[in-house]
Amino acid sequence: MAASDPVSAPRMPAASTDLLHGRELVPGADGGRAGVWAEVRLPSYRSLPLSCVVDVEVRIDGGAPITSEALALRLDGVTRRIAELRPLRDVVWWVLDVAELFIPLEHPLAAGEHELSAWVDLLTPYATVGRSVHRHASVATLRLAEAGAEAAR
Amino acid sequence: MTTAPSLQLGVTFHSFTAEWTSYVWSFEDMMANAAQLGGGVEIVGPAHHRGFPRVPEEFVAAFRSSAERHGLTPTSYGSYADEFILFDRGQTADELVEYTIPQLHGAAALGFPVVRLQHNVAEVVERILPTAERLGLRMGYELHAPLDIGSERGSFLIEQVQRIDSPYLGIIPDAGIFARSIRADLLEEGRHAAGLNDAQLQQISALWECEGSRADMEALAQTFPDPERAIDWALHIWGSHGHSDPADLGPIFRHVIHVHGKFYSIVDGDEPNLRYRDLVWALLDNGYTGWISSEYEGEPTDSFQVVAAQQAMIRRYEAEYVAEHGLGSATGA
Repeated sequence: MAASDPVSAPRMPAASTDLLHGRELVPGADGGRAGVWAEVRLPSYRSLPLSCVVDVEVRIDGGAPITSEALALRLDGVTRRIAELRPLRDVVWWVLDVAELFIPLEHPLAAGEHELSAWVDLLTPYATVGRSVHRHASVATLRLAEAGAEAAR
Repeated sequence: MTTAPSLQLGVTFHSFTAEWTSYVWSFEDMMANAAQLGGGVEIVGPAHHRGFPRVPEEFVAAFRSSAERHGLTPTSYGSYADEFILFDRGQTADELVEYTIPQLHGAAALGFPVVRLQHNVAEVVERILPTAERLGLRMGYELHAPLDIGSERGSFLIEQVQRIDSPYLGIIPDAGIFARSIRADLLEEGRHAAGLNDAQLQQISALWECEGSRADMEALAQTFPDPERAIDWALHIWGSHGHSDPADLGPIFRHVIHVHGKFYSIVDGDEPNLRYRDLVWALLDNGYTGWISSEYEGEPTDSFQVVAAQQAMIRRYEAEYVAEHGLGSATGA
């Protein structure tokens, strides 16, 4: 057996595995709608097809919920509304990949820090106990840069 | 008389989930660690390579080269049936076959001799068996709680394996079915997850100890403040802690092709909630010569250290067995 040193783990993980992964909001548009993009990860130990992403909801600064009909996910350069994901059994979200969530906004967001609370309902496609959906909640403070806020107006 | 260990110990990379998914360890780091943890490697298809249910040629080449470099033995590939991949319906029989066959080809290309099957493929297993035979792959149903040895579904799988009686179809017991008590952190979680108090946690614990069914658990949960959340939480207990006795492996032992060394914690050198001493002794009693893949599923910690501690525990139980019985049939080679 080849000798090799064990790779010890630092105490803090190098990256979050929560749904809300990044710490910035990036202004942008999707299909003519203005809004912001946030980095997201799949809160799972394994890759899942997009058909398993059954529902997502986001609130910014405790505001009204923004739901799957309005939210969109950009994965591998392709943007799709969350509500359109359920048939996509052949499009796989690789467990280590960061995707981006588009959050449309009716009013521009001020520059600075915003508290996002979000959840995703994931279908566990193999559970021994039968079909099951688990909700993964995530809360994070994300920063919208000054220049970004200007661009989003 | 040799005193060389007879049990072959390895690790499933599922043990390293915390470090892998938070970008602390690369795949190559996990391979380097496996070289220090017994030398057997098990991977989980959709967790450890892109392209699932197919295995990309690029990954095959990199995996084989890395395994050779680190002197590793591929032990078992974790396949998935993913019966509920669609929200509104289950996979059809044809779809389950179509989903499983590429996984078998991928596992064989990677050099795995064994493929872990989920129970959901049982209804189509005779359609995939010829492929496994052609590839020289042994497939094994994972007996994972609540699929205890004596459970309805567990018994169905065992009877099917006995009836088909092929060297290419067996079983893979998960050590979680040999529980003696509920892991403390999971029980405690009931306070936050379902708003339970001491007395209610005690009721759940007592029901589990007297082998209450899932239906009994759901009935008890109706008396709790939030039955739905209580059931969600308690299903984790019923779905990970089984009531099988390691001695129950005896009559079905010739079908055991691999073992998942599931564990939740090591406290003072022992797994407090799982019957590891009895399991190790049962394996040695039956002359087991396959692999045990350490499978850590506890709170995030240094996964390397905790797997090393679990393997030291297995070696200690093995040494105690040898001291009492001699090597006997357990010598293998």
